[in-house]
Amino acid sequence: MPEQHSLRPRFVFLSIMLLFLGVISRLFYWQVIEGSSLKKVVENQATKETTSVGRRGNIYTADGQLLVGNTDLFHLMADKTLLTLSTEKIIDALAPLLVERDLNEEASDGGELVEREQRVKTLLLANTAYLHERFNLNSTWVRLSSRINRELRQKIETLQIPGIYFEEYQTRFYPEASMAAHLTGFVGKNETGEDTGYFGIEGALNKELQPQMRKNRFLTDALGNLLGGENTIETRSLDGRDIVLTIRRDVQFLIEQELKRGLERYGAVSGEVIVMEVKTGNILGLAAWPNYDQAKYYDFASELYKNPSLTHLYEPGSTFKVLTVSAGIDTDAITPDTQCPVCAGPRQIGQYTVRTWNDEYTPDITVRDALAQSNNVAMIYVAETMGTDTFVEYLHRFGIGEALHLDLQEDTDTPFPAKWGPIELATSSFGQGISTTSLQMVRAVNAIANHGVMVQPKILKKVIDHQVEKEMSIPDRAERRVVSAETAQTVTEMMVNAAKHGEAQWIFKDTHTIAGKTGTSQIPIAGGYKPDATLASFIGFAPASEPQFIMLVKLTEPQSSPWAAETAAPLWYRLAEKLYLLLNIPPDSTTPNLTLE
Amino acid sequence: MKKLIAFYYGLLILVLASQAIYTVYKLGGTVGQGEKLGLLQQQQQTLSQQLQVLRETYSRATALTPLAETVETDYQPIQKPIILTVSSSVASR
Repeated sequence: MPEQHSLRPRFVFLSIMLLFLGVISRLFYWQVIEGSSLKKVVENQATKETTSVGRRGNIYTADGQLLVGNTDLFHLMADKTLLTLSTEKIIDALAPLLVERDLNEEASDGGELVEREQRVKTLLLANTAYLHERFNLNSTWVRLSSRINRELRQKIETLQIPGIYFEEYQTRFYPEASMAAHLTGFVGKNETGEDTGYFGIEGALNKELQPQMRKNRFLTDALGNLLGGENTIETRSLDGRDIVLTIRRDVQFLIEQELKRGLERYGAVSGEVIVMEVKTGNILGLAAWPNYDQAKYYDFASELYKNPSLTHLYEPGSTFKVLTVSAGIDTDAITPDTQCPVCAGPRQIGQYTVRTWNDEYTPDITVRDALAQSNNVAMIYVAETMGTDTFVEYLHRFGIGEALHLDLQEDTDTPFPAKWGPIELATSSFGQGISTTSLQMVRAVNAIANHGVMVQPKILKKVIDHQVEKEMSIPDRAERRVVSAETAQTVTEMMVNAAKHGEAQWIFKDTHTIAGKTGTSQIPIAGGYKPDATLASFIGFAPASEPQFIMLVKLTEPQSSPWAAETAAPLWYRLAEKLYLLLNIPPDSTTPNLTLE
Repeated sequence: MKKLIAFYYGLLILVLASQAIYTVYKLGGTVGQGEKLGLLQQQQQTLSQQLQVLRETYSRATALTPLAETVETDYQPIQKPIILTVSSSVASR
């Protein structure tokens, strides 16, 4: 009996131990061996994942007007399992509404709607055929159409067609149509089908503008309902950064309109106008024609996407003489009253003969008069007097060939001549045989207007970050002193003299003093220059006493006259008169010839 | 002894019941707050969507380019501004 008493507790203890061992080994199996896979199963059952995407950042003008925004559009979808009406009836109901959309789009594109009835018939047939094709696809869910706006969506919804639903998507929206297209760039798709900015601000600041995408996980019950306190609404902003440009909408609109009229009036092939604030370097407007429509960029030749003011190299011609004279005066090689001893006739340099534009020569012409009369031979004298090394050094100082450091995608250094022989020095002194861009020229001449200090042109005024609720202003930046303040003042006076007494004197207005210079250059092609074709430009700033803005007008191949004085200069003056009003610049001339009407 | 045990279990039940009621009350409050928060966030989202639509409509309505196309016939830009100086006679015609 005592032996039996001693066995039972041992047996019970052993049984409990075995039971515990079984439980522990089972726990080890589920928690350690199968742990990770079970965790995934539970996560899938008890969590819900949603993806939130913000909006791409907007682009505004300096005066707060929307230049590029986003708009919600919808895909028209059909769930074929839920359709209760016949596809014929659905198509008959939907097709006329889609025709209405197409007609509105064609009207906003400026298309001719003269034969409206015929067009309606054509579009109706096309839309009906397309809808049939879509319904016949071997898929449960089919996309019937896209580009459905809110109004059209409401109209379709009132039809109450079972199985028809909408899927929202966003697209870029341009309230000012193609205004400043060369500055803004456009949004297209990259190789993975994602929205990506190309060219201009969209391309350069794509990362800033891009919205964020966030995946959120929520706890759910067994039926997939969110647990108490959980909601799928994204509270933090995922929107991309908004960009505020330095351009003013009124200035941009003015120069675009006037440029188009100017091109028609003078029969030019293309043209550019740039307006920049002298002290800050803020670009107030930049217009180039031909232009493209950012919303339908795919309908235009890809060459039009690039900003010509930044990428198209041109030989500036006589406007370049301002830089030659500035360098000569700053190095004390010449003064405005220095007489040219070799200006009695054409200059022979090696096998080349260099003439003045009108083949007229003034012996002992002063540098002041040479700039006003745009004398090529005198400019060679100025460049030779200061020497090649000094001339080249000053061109570098003026930023010829140097990138603008603008926030635009196409901004890079441009080629600078490597070889400087006597003929290269001679032709460069009057702006031929050397290439630059319009914005480089504006930056260089602006240094004269800004008392000898070069400022960095600026296109970006402010960046607004919605995610951290912060605005970042872009500061103005003076780059370097190019010439002394005295030199800048002297050259300004010479440019005022050139505007008053030069080739464009006939258009000179005496309410505001203008410092300006015309430039008529030849257009280089492979192996020489394009015959009977010129590039006319006028660069100037006003009022000369305290410059507020600098403007470059450039016309390629004007037909009414080859000369800048008869094409680019009058357009410059016409624009300047309107800019005085927009920028509120009072007359500064001491003897204005004004009459009251 | 039996009374003591009954008291002990009674107290235990009371404590557990009060804890359960308190937990349900607090959780109810949390759920209520969560729902309210969700509702407000939903309203905020609706309002921000409306704001976006209004901004878009405003931009379309005040855009210069289409405006100029529609009113160009009536619009008379200032061609020659009248500038007064100290020597100007305002009454002269």
